[in-house]
Amino acid sequence: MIRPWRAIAGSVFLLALPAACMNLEDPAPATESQLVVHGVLDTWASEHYVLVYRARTGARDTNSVNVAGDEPVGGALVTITPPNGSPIAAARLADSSGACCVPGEYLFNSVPGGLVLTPGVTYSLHVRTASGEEVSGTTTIPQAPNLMGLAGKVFLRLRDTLRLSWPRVSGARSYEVILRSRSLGLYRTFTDTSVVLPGTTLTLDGDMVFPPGDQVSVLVSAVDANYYDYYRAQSDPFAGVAPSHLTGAVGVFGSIAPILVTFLEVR
Amino acid sequence: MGSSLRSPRIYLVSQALRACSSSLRRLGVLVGGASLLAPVAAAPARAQRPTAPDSARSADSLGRRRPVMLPTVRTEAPRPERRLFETKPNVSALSVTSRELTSAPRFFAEADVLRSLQLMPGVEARNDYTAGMNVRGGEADQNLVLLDGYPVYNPFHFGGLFGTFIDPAVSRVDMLTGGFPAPYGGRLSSVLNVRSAEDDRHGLHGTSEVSLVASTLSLGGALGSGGSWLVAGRRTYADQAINLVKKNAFPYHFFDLETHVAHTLPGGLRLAVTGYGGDDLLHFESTTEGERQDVLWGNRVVGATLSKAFLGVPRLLGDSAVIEQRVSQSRFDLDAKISGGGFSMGSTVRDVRAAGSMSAYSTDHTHSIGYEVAGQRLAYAVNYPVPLFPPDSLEQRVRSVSAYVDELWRLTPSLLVEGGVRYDGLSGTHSSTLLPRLSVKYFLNQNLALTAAVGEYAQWIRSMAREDIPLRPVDYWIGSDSLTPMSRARHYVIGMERWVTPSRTFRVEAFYKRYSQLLEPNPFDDPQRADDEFLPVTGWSTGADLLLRQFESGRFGGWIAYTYTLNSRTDANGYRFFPSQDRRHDVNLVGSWRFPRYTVAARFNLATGTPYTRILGEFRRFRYNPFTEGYTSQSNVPELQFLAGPHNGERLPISQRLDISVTHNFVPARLTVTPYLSIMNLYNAHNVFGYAFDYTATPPTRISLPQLPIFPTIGLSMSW
Repeated sequence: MIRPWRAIAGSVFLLALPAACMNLEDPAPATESQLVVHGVLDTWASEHYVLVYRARTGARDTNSVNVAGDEPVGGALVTITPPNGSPIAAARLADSSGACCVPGEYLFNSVPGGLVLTPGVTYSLHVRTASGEEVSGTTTIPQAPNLMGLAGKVFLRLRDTLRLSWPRVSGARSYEVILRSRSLGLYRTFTDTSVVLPGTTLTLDGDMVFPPGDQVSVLVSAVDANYYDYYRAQSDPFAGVAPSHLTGAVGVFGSIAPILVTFLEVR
Repeated sequence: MGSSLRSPRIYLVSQALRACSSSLRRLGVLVGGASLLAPVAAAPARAQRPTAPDSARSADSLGRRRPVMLPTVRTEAPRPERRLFETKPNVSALSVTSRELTSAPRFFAEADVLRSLQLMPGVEARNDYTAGMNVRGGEADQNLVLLDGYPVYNPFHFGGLFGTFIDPAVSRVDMLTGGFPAPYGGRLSSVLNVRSAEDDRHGLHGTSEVSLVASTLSLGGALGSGGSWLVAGRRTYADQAINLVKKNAFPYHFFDLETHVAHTLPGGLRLAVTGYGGDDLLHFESTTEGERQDVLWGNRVVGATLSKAFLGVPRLLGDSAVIEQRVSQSRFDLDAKISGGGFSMGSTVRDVRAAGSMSAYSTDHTHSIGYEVAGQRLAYAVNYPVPLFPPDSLEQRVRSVSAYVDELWRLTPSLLVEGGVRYDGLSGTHSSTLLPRLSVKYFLNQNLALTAAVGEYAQWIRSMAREDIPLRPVDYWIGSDSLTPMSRARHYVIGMERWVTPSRTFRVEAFYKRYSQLLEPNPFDDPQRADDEFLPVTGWSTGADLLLRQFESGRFGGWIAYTYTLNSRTDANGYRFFPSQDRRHDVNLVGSWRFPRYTVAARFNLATGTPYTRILGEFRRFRYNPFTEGYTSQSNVPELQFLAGPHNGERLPISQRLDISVTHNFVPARLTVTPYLSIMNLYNAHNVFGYAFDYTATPPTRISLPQLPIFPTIGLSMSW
């Protein structure tokens, strides 16, 4: 004969067992689609691109040939309006075969009659998709002086430290230092009006920021608040996207003005 | 069946003294050689009056009269909880003794003080991986954790899996979950005081525990004729064990070292010194450089308390008094440097404080005054934006001065009132505040009382750890300054407490807390701004909790605890949301059954889900490359952006878990040996602590992240 407490304990155990067998993975239901816009105006660039695409929300089918797996939005009307009030429309970018057009990428040329940037001036972006969605944003370009080039030098990785400083730029929210090398690609950091990087600095992945044998190009740019707010922060699944100053989309419409460039021969 | 007290320190309760002495005089009973005393507890409650060491002198003079032989009398000390029930309003007070700790099911092979408290009403942990407790809907950084009255800033190891307190070194834990009186301040939600064990038996006594996770050794004994000493240590060795199989597969361990010495000095002065040190160490080799990388965090606490009891005090004050003076230093350090400083993180707390109090006792009154002067140096620095740790650099010096007056008054035989006011002032912020507190207890009969409390509370040190994140490895403490004001809360508590039998109680309390100027860490904190580390939040928490508790007086001991909470917060934009700790229902059934040779313990928890923010989609953030005038997406930095739904708009499913343990008790010679088997999450319930959404899959998926699975463990405990 089974004792009552054993029967109770056995029943509790059996009833609770299904809880241990719950499925770990469920489909996530689709949600509303969300436009994403990336547009950065660079005072030293000859071309400016605006990327328009949709975030992956499960709302539409996507395919892997699109931009980075997200869904590009083709056929949108993208304009940038300088202070004179005359909107400049983006050209549709031809693909590598010459056919029209690379979906989701919109091009502005810095040529007379095109988009010529003036420091200290505010530009407005407007996007209208074929389905009628509207996106807008503005950026004010930092009033940077002319780009200053410093002579390159030999940099002993185990002994030297990169030390740079520069004057404050009107309209700049912050300054971005970008190091480019063949081995590493790009290393970026935001700072105020100076930067100190020991030669032994590593990236989060443990890669050398100053790879021996490489030439490292160093570029310092003054950046506006839109650019800084969007790129300084990391998104995480609990906080959502980095701060965006766009209306009708997430992403960025910002501007940068390079102020200092140099290179290092790393040994 | 009562339990014996080992070398109890002995105190008299004022009313009891008067009743006993008058009765004895009436009967003409004489007591020689010692004062007539009631053993009550290993440590004095504030309302209990200590006797002066020379109090025996008056009894000596009585002893010269003709002695009278008394028949054998069996006495049984009332429980400390019962004594507190009779002498103080004691609103929202909870306690767990070392005996209850050792008989409860173990968590990951370790008997854990803090985990045991999470089984009490009003106290909750979000999940198995959090180093915080949410008390009655409060945020996890609103709890003041004390070791013998000295603050400990991060009382957890391994991201919250283990508490820092070594079980054999703990005598009891007292917790106030709301409406606490004026002597306590600096936190909005609760006070938790862990009291060190004092084993003053002669000879060397100790406890040794070996489990699959850690080894613990505790040694102690009498120190002269009026004191005790204790040294305890613990170290995990999973790293060493796994190393035998695969080198550096689990490069993590932690250790604790604790000591407590108490001694009565000449003149009746009592000195108690406590020291604690504990570190978590994670060490591994960098893939590129081959250099050793260390991540280290830990606490150091040292404190001393000097106290003296007086009998001959001015009549205005009463008939006895205790003066106490404390000094302490508490430190927390976190230091992580990874990839040659590519990512570095540091957090520092230096807390130095001096505090004192004087309590004077009379028949119907206990007057208390006290002060606390504290200085804290707090620093936080993260040099690179990675999820969970806001990149910022802060360094602060906070100085606070506090003073309080507290009066416990037995207004009528059935009405107890405790009222007081606390002053907290901060340097650098030009802020100071007066915080009134009031609690009452009305006895409907000797076993049933109604209670109520109201009070104002302030907090000026807070954690940079975000409440929304279910993982909370450590707290990074930052203080108020001219840009971040003190947070405030007001508590209202009403309740009923009934002693069903001398060893069984039932308590139910309802509470309402209103918060102003709560500050939540800003996930998009700008390191180049000094005023955006926190976002202002207001809100309230309400609910009720009940506790039916059977104290261990026979074969069975345990409790049923139920907590209901409803919480609301409103951000600076006026958006109202449920905070992440908003758990509506939480039930804990805890029991231990002692048989002659075995002790069986079980704990069952059933809890409704907490809110979370659903991810609605994701996209890749492209970065502009001025060298190519195009866009790139860096592979070495997480550039995925998450589109979040309404803040905490959804809830996790119900969680439930059963833990059991079986201990075999036997005593060969003078050694008590207790091997045990403990199984955590007996039926391997899949409890979810969060979801990971993957929108790169077609269709998108939601993966549930489980809490701890079934974990059986064995161990051996020996005491002598």
